[in-house]
Amino acid sequence: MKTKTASTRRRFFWQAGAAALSAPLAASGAHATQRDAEDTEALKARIATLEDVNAIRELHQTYTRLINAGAREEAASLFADPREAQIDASIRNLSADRFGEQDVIEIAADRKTAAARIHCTVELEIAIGPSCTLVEMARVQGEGFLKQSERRVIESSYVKQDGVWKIARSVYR
Amino acid sequence: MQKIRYPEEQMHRIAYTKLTQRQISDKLVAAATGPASVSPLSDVYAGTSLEIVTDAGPRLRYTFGDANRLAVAENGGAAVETGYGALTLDHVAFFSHMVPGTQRGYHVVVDQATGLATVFEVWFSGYMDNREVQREIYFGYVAEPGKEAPQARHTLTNRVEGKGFYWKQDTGIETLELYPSTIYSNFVELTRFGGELSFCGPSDYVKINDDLYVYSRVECEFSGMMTLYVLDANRVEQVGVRLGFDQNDALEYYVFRGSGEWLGQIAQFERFGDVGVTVVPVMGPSGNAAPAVKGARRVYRPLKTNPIMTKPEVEAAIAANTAVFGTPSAMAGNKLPASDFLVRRALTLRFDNGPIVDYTFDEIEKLRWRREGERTWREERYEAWESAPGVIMFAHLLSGAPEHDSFTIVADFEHGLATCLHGTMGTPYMANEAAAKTWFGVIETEGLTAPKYRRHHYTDELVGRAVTWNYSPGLTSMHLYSTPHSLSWIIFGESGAGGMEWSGPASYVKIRDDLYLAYWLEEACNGTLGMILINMRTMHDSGVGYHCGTDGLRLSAMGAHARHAGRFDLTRFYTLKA
Repeated sequence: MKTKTASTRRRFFWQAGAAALSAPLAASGAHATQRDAEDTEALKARIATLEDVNAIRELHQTYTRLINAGAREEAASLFADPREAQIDASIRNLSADRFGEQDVIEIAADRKTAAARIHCTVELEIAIGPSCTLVEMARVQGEGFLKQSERRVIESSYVKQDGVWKIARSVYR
Repeated sequence: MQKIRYPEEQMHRIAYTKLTQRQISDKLVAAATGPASVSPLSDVYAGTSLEIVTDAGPRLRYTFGDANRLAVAENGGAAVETGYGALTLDHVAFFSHMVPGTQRGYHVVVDQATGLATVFEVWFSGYMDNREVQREIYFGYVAEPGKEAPQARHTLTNRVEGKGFYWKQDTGIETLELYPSTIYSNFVELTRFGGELSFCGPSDYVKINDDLYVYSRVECEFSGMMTLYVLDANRVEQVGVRLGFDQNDALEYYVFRGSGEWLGQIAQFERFGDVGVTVVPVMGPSGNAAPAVKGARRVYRPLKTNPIMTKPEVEAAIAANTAVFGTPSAMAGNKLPASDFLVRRALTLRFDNGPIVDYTFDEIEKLRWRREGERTWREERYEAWESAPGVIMFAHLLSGAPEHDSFTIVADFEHGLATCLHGTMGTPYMANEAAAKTWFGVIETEGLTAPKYRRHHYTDELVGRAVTWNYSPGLTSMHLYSTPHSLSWIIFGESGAGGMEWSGPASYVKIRDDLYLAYWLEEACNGTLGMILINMRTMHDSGVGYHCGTDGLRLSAMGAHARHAGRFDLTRFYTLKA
């Protein structure tokens, strides 16, 4: 997965770290000491950001695994407020680990919130309806659903609670 | 002397006694002497011993006395004596016995050529309806000292799917048995129930080899009776057993030998190469896949999902919600476009055995009608489809009619003929069950002279045919026109294998060559009256569903694309012979 920035503020944060890391090392004296300190801070900030990105990626993967396992309640527990978890009942499977160039995770400068846009394939089971005898029979047989795959984008926002990233909101576009 | 013995009530109308466990135990005492048999029992095992080992099932050690007594020890336990009956079919030996003092027993199939065995453990009182025979199938082999256990096993199979046979047992009982599914089957009781209707039951199919199979069914939702037999598909011979309680609660426990006729082979819809070793997965009591539950199987229990309503409940539901060609159902995904053929026409439909009705069609969805002699027109919403050139199917409710009547009419403007299916809601059995009458007649309208004598007429031309119907994406069934008076419908599993199946009374009218008007009644089910005009040239139908449930009354459109799945040679069994 690649991390990108979209907002000026986040770009600044992200690029500040990158710029710091890419600064020339040929410096000397007080300037060198000051620059070393700045480099260290920038490096720390970048590592912290990468840790946040990794944490959110793991959170997303956990969410995906739980959805695929049909563990909706457990998936809801990954939300900051599980009552706000609106998980599309028709989704049976999310493709995990198919992250590409277009996927974005943005960490806010204060590292308390984040946002992500992750492309994925969702396998849907859409209940056939309205009900009729055949649909009722199919249900008894464990079927009666229209199965299809769609390319979607999951747009999520995240919030850090007690040092742990939680999903604030997640929408499939 | 009456030639055909018709029952007072057909199978789906019989109120079978809810037998108690005690009653069943008492009745099973008679089984201790073994099953009855018209044919001489086989002594294939008399004076021998036999040990059958099954995978994840019982180990059964048999010591056979004569041709009627054996001792069986289950899983190394103490041996108990009981009666049994054995019959052979080529190199297959079949025997059946109950375990004294229990409601359990075994039907055992041994292939003497390979040493492989299939064991059906059967029992009563395993479901809320105690009389319904439960079963678990175990595959195994005959253990022989010093000989390694074979790796091969008999298997579940789809190789019987699509076959159909006429059977005549040594008891004189004749049946037609059709296997359009891998987990269900159709049976027409020619002798026991007069052969008017076909019925369906959950079924098992086990492959012994390419000729020989084991078939079993349980008449779930009816008597709960089990019929199991080994069949030879080439020679069309069978040996098997009946176990259960009939409509008079009498124990039927007998082994039989039979022979018959091959009736044909209809299509299968699995992928090529799929021989169905794993068929549609079983379901547990909760409705979820639960193969660990002993005896679990998929059973369609229509009255569990379709509650019987009282007349007041029906009236209240209809008053609250009546939908005429409202939101299209899943059955209408492939319906024909609405036709404006009738718009601005005025006509009279004169039915020989029904009313005379004047119609004026104002708009594509609005008509007015009145009975002959009435002055007042009544306005109704309708929908019409032109199924074949000049053949219009249209339907409407008769608003305010006490039985919530509907008319579904096929009018052939090229021949001046019309047929009406008059639907009414409520039968002596269920208030939310539709009934239908068929009226034949003519069209009277400007520029058309109707025939005096010719009419549409009942037909058996569809009997035996199987036709798939794709109503909308993901919703496909197969109709099997199993008798001139009934229709079965089969749901497919995900692999394309035939799955759940049910059946109802039906009627077939010939409109033109290759154009048929059929209806079926989902009696003792959800009460729907389904009416379709089947065009075998375009392989498309148009149709109407008439249904009342807790959600009110619905008159709705249907339409599906068809595929012909073949035909069984059945018609000759339904003619009245001198």
